[in-house]
Amino acid sequence: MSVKSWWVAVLCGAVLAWPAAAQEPGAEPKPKDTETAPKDAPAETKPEESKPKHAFEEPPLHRWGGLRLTAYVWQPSVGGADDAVATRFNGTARGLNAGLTVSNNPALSDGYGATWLLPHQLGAIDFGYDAIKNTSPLERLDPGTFLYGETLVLPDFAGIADNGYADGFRAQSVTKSRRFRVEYAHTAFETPRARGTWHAGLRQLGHSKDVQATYYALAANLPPILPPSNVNPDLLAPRADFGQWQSDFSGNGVGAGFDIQYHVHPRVDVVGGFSLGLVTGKQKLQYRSRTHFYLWTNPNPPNEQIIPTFSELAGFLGSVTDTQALSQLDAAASLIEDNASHAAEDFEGYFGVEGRAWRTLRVFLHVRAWALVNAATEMRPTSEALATTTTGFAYAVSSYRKTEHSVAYEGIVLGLSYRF
Amino acid sequence: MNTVRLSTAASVLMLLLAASTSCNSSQPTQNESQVVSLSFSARSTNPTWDCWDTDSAAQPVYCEQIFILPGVPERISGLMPWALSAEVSIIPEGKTAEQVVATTVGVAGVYTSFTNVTAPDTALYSGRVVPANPTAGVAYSNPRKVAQGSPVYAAFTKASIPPPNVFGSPSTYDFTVHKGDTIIVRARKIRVQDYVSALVAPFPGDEVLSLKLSGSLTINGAVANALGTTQSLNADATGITFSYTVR
Repeated sequence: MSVKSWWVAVLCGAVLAWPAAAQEPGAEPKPKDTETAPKDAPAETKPEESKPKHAFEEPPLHRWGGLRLTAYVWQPSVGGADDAVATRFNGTARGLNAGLTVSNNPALSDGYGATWLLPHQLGAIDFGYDAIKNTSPLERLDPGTFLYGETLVLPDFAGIADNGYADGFRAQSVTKSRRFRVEYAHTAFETPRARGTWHAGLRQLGHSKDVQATYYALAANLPPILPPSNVNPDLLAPRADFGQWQSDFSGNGVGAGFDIQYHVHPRVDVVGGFSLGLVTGKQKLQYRSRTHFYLWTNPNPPNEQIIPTFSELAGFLGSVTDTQALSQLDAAASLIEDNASHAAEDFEGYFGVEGRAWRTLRVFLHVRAWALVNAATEMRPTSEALATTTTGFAYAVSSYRKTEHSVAYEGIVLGLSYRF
Repeated sequence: MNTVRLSTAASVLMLLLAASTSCNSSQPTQNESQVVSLSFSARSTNPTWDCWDTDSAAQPVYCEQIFILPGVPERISGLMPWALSAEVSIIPEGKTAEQVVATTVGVAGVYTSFTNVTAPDTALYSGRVVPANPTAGVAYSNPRKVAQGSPVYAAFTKASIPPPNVFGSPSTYDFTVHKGDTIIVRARKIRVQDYVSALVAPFPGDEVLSLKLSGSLTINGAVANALGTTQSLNADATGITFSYTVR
């Protein structure tokens, strides 16, 4: 989290505390503990018969308990989810190569919760939903300078010169996480200044990644396909290469956590907590690669075919008759692993301040971190061979590897909750 | 009182949130215009000729080929007027598709699609005062030596040389681009069999074999160091493709 965000957090916390601190300490009645629940799942601890003595005190629970609805927004930074999509060769003089990754930009996200506060200090049942979608692009376009390594595609025919280099690319990484929790919460301990609450229950977790890149040969500077050649230049213009991997995980599991609430003022609490979960489920993995190559077919029997090198291609394009014998073909590969079992871990921690603004309306400001460990898997072929099919050419993949990816979200949460 | 404090706190909070999300320090990209000048030339190793003006209406220009040894003609590198097809495209900054700025493809002319023509060799050198084989009764004046790509030699052979043309301009084709744009230039020589008979017949094969087409770009008057091939091979109907990204 940036220094700027920390300052915003501190300032917002001060703003929350300021109206309360501005009041005469003696004028505020001693706080009535009316809820026992985690940070956003408060439950009543005092009997329903207590009467509000101040406009800022929460009214008692109903006979059926109470319902607290919570909504919050945050713009978490994404850590550990940078996706490699290209390299950049910095020249022979320096001999340096740089890896280029799509860094996920913070995206405004929201979350919701509903807590049924059970009567008679029986605890609370908490429903929570979190959803984060992060779409981040990366683009480098440097026409005529072929120094961007095509990381995501199969190497054989990558790049116009089949050397794996493009003069530009556009990449995009989409990361989506969603979690639904149903948990039971109950007070673990309580003192006049602090209260601890444990919670445990079920959770459903979904996490998906979609990383793709299109690699260009924008200015290949091949010999021109102009008259006297009558070949349509569009047919032989270098097509862009494309690589993509996708991972979709969805599973169910259990989790538990602990929250602590410390009263620093009758209407202001410092809160913190953590939650751990283990989820098992099914995963679908996909990989796609599409590169291109040129094929020269001898017009004379026996019509031999050759895949020209780059210099041979330039020679063919310089000849009017040889240009007519050229064609451009796809070399595509796809790999799917469907319905594979997979396990992921779900860690969360937070701390911050909560303030009671009016009756049962609470405002909270948390610094929150949420990590999904091994929730995505990148699948890549490691051995393949170009095979002839009835429709053209395709790669036959003989082996592949899988790499686990984790993601961590961190940011400042600002939310409201209201109890009915 | 509490209501006032609450509303004040809410206002400050909203201001803080707005400040935290609205401070964007990115600046608009510069989009300065640049004037690009494109020119083509064709050069070959040409025989030389001594030429004179005459008072003959039937042959106003008379030339004799220069030999350094018996049977060995003198040759110098010189320009050659040659027709070519050409196309100029631009890839705007941040885009991946070419936009054609100018093209000769499909343009009608003496040689359809080959409406661009390189300039002839206008260089004049000092030549012999009188011909070696003058025609009796004809007066010779204005002696000079020219290369075979000269309009003087073309006048001697009564060949018609199309005027120099680069997309409608006699010398350079000027157009405007913006910083970050990439210019792609493609050009291709007309085939010998389509051109020579109408130009400077009889055209010795050596000149054709040594004919190289070149292209050059200047950006705001400065020569641009383009990527790609700015000079063609000698081979018939070969061409050039080069690109330059304006910085």
